[in-house]
Amino acid sequence: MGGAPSEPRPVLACSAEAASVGVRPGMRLKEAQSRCPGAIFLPEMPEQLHAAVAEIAALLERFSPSVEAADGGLFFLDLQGLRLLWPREDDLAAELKSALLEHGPYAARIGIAGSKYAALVATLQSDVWIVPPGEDAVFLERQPIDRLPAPAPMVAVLQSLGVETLGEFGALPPNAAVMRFGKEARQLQLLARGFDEARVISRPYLPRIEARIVFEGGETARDRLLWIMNRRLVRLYRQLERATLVARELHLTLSFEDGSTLREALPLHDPLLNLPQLQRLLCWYMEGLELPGPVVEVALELAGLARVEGRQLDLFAHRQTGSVRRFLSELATRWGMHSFRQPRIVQSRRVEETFAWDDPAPRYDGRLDEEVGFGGTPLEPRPLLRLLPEPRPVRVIMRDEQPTVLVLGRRKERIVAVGGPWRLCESWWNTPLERDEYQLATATAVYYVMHDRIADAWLLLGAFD
Amino acid sequence: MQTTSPASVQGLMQAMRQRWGDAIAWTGHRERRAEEGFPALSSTPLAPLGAYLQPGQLVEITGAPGSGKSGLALMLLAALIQPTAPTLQASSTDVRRGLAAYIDTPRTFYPPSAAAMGIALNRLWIVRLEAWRDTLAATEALLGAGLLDVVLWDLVGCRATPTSGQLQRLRKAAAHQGTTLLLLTSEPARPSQRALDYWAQVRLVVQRRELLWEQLGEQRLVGGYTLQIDVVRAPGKPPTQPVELRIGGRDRVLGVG
Repeated sequence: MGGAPSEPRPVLACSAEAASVGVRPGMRLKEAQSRCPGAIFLPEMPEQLHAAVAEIAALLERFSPSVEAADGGLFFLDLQGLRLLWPREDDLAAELKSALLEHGPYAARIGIAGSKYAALVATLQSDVWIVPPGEDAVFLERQPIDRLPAPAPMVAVLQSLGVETLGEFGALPPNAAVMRFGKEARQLQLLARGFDEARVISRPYLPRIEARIVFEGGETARDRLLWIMNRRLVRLYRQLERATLVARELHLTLSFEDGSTLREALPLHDPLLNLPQLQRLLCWYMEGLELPGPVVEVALELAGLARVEGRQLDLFAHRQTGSVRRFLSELATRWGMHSFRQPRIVQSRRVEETFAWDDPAPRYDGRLDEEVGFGGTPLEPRPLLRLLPEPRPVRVIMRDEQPTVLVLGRRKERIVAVGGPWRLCESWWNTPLERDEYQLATATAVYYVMHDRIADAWLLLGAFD
Repeated sequence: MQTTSPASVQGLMQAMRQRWGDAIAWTGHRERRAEEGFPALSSTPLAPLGAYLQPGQLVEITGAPGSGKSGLALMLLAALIQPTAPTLQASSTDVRRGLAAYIDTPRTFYPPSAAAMGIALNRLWIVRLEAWRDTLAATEALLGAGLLDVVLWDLVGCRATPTSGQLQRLRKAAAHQGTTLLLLTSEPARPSQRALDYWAQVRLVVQRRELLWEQLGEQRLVGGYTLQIDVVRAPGKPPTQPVELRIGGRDRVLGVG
């Protein structure tokens, strides 16, 4: 596996049959073809490979809590402290082999030794090879030089110099080896003598954060479904927080009454998503989903877990221009941008034309408010006018050219004080406007009313509140 | 009369911690924030209300039509979106973001009046949606985004009111993100809004005391009013005297109401 033989890439993994004729992971694909002309070459399948490695690692964790998955299909198990469980190493090896065969089936080669390198070399001896305790150096001494994890040219040079075994290489004068092959040769000599200090680095334990909800009789109401899923999501998120993990995906599986299943992986582009954002993601997905029938089971999983290495403190929340922009686009997608507007003052003498609407924009530049508000120029607050969407016809009873009674539908209100009138005449050349505007105070409210002098009609523009 | 010593309070705290675990530490954190409140309010005419208001609360402002509740709500909004400088001690909910949303259900928002109240209009989003369900969902989304300081929902003249469950969700979202939710309602003729009575953490009842007129040449115009604000509900605060507030009005000419 790794690609076509014509590609300049290394072998990622190979079968036992290919390994028996000299094919090794890391070897160039072209060379692998020359050693094993009948081999079938498979393309690199990173996702499948990753899944298989995770599966095998999970299986091996039944035998040892410390399992390292290395490149090239290699797995290292730390057997320290397992003597009570496995008094005989050959029993352990046999059990491992049968478990892998049963599971995959995976044909495994097993080497047991006191160090990682010796164990690796032991796997090349036979299907199961156990190096007795303390005999790593003796075992390695007799091994051929091509088992040294060195570049092929270096191995070729050593062979041409008559160095046939690891023991002979280890016995070379260290300075001479370093002079000839570079400082890496010193480390290789130590390996050849059985000094390998490398430890098994086990993969971090990550819990599965998932929940299943079963609906007896099936659930068809999307709102109810979403509500229950949201509640579970809250619990999952709490688990995630407690474990100080971040998730990269939200996996959602819906099982329907007719036996069909819908699986979806919702990617979380920002791994530090907070709960409301996560809920919104789920909500939007569910809103756009066509349910083919009653849902009988829902499975939610926060997947792609990773440890939180560090979390950026939200010290500059007021500078979140990017977040505001993203949120606005989300709102626009959901309800249309016409539903979210930003007002702007426009110079006009007509009260209903003194403002305009813009699309909201994250204009805030992070400066503290000095130009407006209580921190800066003193303001002159006025009674707040509520402007009706459309002027409403009303009746005003006049006495001595002064408004005295306001008739709103069937209700009459006595006017106790009058502000105005302010006369407005304009556009006589086009659409003539001639009107008087009043503030009419009654016992309960102050109304803003205009008298259209051309149509001789009274219109209620709004009220102060 | 028996006095409470610090030692006895500590003993009580320890006993509570033993019984209910570290949840008490969370309470302590909330108390710390409660002490901070809105520093921007202290330099405004609304300073007497500062003792009752905290970020992330559900505040109901109610009153009869024309009582001045809308003016008070917008004045409050202007003060609450005053951005503060971030400090290392501040949590994300303590930092003001300088943005607010006005959910204009009756569609009567008049921008020049809001500007006169001190609101920078480029920091205010006006939300106008047709369906009640959409309005409710948008309110929840705005509260949950954690990007706004204040969401003001104008329910004046609305036949529908949020149910208990909806208010609970809104209150939770507001508290989680530190976004204050101001609900502007008309004072009900009869006590029917039980859900709101239950879920609002602070309830301000506004009454107009006087209308202040100004002389402008030969004409006069409404220049301001004095309000009486009754804080009928505030968490952990005893009942207090009504707060008197004057909005605008340089020359008092005539008093009405």
